[in-house]
Amino acid sequence: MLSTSICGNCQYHLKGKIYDYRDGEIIIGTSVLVYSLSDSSYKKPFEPFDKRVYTYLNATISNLNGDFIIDNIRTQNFNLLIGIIGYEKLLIKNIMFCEKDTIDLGNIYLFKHSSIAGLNEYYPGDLEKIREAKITEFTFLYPPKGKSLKMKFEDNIVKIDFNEFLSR
Amino acid sequence: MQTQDLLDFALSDKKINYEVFIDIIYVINLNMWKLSVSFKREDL
Repeated sequence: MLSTSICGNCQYHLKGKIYDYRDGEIIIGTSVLVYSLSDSSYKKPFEPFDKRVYTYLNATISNLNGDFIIDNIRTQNFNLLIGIIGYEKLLIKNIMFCEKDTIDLGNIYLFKHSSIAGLNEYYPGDLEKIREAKITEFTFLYPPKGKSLKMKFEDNIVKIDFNEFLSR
Repeated sequence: MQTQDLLDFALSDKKINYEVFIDIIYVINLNMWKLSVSFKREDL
């Protein structure tokens, strides 16, 4: 069982940089919230997410470079909620400081609300517009590894180009 | 149609209509989204 351990003298640090998944642009002003799950909720692992009891510990927002740093975290394990209007919230559970007192989350990618990655001009709930426009070629981007996957609808058959996705 | 059925269609040479193709696009997109999140968690 996991439990939140508070360390009176210890101070942990967390940092990262936030990007838009689709275009790779940095996102300024994203809320980054650190919170612990209450001990009572840890004892109920199957409790619905929105019924659990959380304690907010610290928070910040990403700066003009998309970077965020949170100092003075006094618990060894915690959850992180990253969000900004217009994007899907990202929840990372059970982050734990082990030997080091700093965790660098590196590049974090957020997804625009209801957007399909790789579409240049359309966002679904715009699935209807995509249907109307009869778009038959899609490219899915996977920025963390710089990969892409192409799908084409041709002669009523789906054709997939894995080459760019599989190549190093 | 279930996600697995749609992915099977995508990987087969079966003829489908455009509506099904768009459904495939949708589920592939969701899958990429999950892939990205799991990558970040592995990265911790």
